[in-house]
Amino acid sequence: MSDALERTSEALGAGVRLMAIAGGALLMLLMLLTVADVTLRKFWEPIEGAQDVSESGLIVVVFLSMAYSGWTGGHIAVDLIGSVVKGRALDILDFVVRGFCGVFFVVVAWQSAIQGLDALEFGDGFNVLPIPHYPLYFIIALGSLVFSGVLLVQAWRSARGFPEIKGP
Amino acid sequence: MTPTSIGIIGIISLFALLAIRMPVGIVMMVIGLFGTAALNGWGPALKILGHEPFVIASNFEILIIPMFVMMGNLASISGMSRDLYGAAYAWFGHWRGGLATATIAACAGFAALSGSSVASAVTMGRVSLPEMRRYKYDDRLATGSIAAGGTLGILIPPSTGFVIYAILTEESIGRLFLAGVFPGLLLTALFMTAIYIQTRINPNLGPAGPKLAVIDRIKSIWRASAMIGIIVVTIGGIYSGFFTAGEAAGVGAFLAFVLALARRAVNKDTLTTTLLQTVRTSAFAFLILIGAHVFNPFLALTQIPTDLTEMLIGTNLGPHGILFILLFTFIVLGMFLEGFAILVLTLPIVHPLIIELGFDPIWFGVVMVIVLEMGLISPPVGVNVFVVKGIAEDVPIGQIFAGILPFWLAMVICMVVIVMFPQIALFLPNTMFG
Repeated sequence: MSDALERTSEALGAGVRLMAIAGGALLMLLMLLTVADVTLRKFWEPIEGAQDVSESGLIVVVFLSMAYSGWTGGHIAVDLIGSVVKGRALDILDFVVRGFCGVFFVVVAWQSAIQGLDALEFGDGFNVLPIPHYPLYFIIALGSLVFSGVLLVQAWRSARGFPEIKGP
Repeated sequence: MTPTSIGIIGIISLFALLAIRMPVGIVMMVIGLFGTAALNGWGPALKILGHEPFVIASNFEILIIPMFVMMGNLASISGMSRDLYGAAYAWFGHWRGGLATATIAACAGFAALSGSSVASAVTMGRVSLPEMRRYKYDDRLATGSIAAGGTLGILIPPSTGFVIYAILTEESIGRLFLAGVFPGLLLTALFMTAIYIQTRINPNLGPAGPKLAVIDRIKSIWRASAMIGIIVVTIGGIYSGFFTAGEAAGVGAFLAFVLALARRAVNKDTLTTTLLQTVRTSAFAFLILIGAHVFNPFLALTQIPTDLTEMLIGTNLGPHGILFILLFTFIVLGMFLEGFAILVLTLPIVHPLIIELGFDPIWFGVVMVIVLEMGLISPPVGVNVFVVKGIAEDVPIGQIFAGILPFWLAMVICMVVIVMFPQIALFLPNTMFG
């Protein structure tokens, strides 16, 4: 049982890390786009639709990184009960809380996918460039689903009394 | 059941979920979903849940958060923190308590490159603590100065605290950044004064280091000049209207990247770590903002902000009396809740009240961030204290808190001065161009 959990943890950890690195690389591209846009605006003319690209890129960055942040304990929680409840009781509490959060993010993914289908049906898109909204909603749904997987595996780890994983 | 009763149940549930270690952003989403469903039905509630992540994550203004976080991380790997401390050490190190003073000065400088208090405390702590130990500084003064100096990270621009405040209140990020400059410098000076007074009373707390020749001091400034250049370009660019705060963040991150490349500090490992740290911090900020935007419509539906505003104004305490109550409440909350959690949980209620009382919301943003800074070093959950504990593992947590007390009092003085003289915060934003 614990072997299966370790294998799942390793695979998930590697997967979310890769997603986060991809998000970080995209962020660097957005940085270069911002610099190019500012420079060209001052000395020639701005890049058309740069803001649309930044906005859509930001969604991808955020939802590629959400699961990694959760996996490495990046999402802040208020640790008041940790000084009162310890050991197995705390593990069980974490199992319940993370399990609930995991299921909750399945709902977030489901609702984002529905919004994406609506955006596809109505042809929603950005103002300047013809970038449609629907793929971005699907990326949010995917990111939320992976985050949900992270939370559920963390719940599983808590149930087995495994230690938390820390970030870089 | 009335909307207000549902609202009160929602707020009690919110604190209950926070207490059992549910992440702040998710708590707000959960309460926002169930609360809105109770008041308006599941259809609108689920629609908000599906739509708000898109609205927040595609907000061009918030691109500023990952960009400035990346700038701070690139500054760390490029060795700028060492240069900064070296320059501050060269100028202040020979004073009594000079290494602690240098730590504060270097933290203030690093704060101008990083929007995070934790990052400032970690980065400068790793550089300055070994030096202070070498000169046999008292552990309380050494650790207290690092923890307190680190808090300057969210007051001196760029500041993630100001960005979150701006997004939640629809105030200008650029104006808030500029409003933080003079209060940040004032607080830096007050921290230095706190060190001076302590070492006057007990010189053994921080013995003086060797005095460097003038030429060496000038060289130290030259080594830190690249960092000073980045600060001038980003903050000066916002003030002059040359670019927006978001663009300044992109340009600042780019300059930090170029500098890191020039110093050959960028390789596969450092770049990967920088990117991972950047997106990790940014994702947590976005989750909190998404949570706030799912929670706030519910809170508005309950009418609690309006009722509370009317109730407080009806008490005849006067604007400053109510302000005192608010600040006292924030200080108490800061002892138990993380700073960003306080911002997102209280602003929907407090911001309309501040406007109604006739206070400037930009000025209030500065006061609120100072209170959040106090929370960062207040027992029992002062985040910066635990960060410093991670660097100085052998120092008991009680000693670190004891060392922080003089700096905490300096923050109280800073807050009182800014309440009495709002112009300190408002001068720069009121004179900015663009």
